[in-house]
Amino acid sequence: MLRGRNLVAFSRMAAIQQRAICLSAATKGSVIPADASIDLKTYEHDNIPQAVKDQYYPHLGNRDIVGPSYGTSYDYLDCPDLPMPAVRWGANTPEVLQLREKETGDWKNLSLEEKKQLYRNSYRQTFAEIEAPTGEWKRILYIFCYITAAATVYLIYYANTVPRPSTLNKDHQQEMVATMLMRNNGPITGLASKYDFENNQWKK
Amino acid sequence: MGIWMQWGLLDLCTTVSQSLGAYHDLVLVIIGSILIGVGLFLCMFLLHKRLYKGMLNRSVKSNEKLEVVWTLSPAIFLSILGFESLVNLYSMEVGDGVVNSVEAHGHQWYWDYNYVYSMGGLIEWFKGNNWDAVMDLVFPGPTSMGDLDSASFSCADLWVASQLVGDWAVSMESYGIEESSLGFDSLKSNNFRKMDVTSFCILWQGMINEVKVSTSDVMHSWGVPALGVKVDAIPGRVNVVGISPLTSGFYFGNCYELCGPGHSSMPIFVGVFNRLNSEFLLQESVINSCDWDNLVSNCDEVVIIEKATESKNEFFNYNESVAESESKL
Repeated sequence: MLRGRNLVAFSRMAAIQQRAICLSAATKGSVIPADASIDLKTYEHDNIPQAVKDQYYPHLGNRDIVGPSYGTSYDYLDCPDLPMPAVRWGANTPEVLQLREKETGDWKNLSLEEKKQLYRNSYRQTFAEIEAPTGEWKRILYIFCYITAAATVYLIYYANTVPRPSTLNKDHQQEMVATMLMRNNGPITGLASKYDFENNQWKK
Repeated sequence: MGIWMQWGLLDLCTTVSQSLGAYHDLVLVIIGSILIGVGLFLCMFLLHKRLYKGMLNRSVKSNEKLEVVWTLSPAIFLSILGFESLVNLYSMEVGDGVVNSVEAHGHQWYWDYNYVYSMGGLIEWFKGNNWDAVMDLVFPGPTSMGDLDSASFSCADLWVASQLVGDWAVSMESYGIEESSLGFDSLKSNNFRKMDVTSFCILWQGMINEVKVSTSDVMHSWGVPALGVKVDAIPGRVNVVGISPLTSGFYFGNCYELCGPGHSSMPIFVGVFNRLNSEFLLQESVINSCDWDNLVSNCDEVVIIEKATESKNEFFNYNESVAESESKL
């Protein structure tokens, strides 16, 4: 898991490889009319002016873009496979900006509570919260049980009301087998091939 | 027909159906290999927490070699399957040398079979052989009193047939026997629910038969799995298929195109016989439809009585001996 210095190094390296496609990617299929006052040029992901962000990524608001996007737009995503979302979770309030200033100094000067606030500003959930069980299996189980019970009730009703065909009768099936043998059904690999007609018995 | 819990195909009795069976095996192998490949990928994604410690998106990125493989391999498989399929398709053509032509006409909800039968060929065959040989065929041996009546009837049949030389259009309607008529009587053959019919389609064993399938109302489909045949019956069109059964026997099929509420109640029953038996059956159907009394009154009765009497003597004596022994008892 990358944090701190390694995170910065990774994000910068990734940004170099994925040169600011933000504008061109955002305008594909976009219905937002182009603002002539905005100077369209290539920006690095951590250097996009607020005016450009408001134009092309209105959902971001005051939040920082801290890494390359995984898709065509900068979104926040909590996923163990993708531990570094492209944007911060929280907005840049004055209190947060103050803490961030303090973060640039020695981390030993940060209290545990401050570290937690910084974390919560950048991320919505911890890994433990992401991977915690949700209990959704109970909902899935009850839906399954409900459908099974409904099908069982219908099956019981059907078995008691609809008459069964005669072919389910064992005696009838035996007669059918005898007729099939008489007609020599399946002489190569089928039923008749398993019967010894000379000795009038099934082959052993 | 199939039996309960049958997994594999039926016994296939034409070369075309056996080719289709081999094609089915080839496709099954390819399907199995694709299933294994896709299953591996599926397991990889489902079990990513164990295999990749939950870091699937970080571990599995692009793989151009894999993309080339999974583009080329389906193309190769499909071209193999397509080639085999085309070979099978062209082998189903009717070809030359058709000896028996049947029209299978679909209705809601029954089939009717039409033949053009040339009465006379069989009579010539009989005339060519002496009557003893004919009698050996008609009377295989004294069995029971019941056979006496059928024997004399067959003898008369031959005479009547000789009076009916010519081309006859024979039409038989084949209705599915209703469930209420199913029985356990061994004299009846109608023990199969939704499979037995009132009259069946007659094909010749070892020869090229042509079945012309059409319909007078909605679409149907004439299909017999053991013969490897399934032909759509389309209004306004006649589809033709060639069938060359290798073995004689009885083969079942169904209507394979949804045609209304009675779609499951119009079975197909094909009887494959050698030439002699096929012609006998068709001859019988012609004779049964004739006005016998009219025919008999206009002919030389002496001939028929003499011939019948000669052959009846054996059975007549047998009949008397049985009657005597019964009276003693």
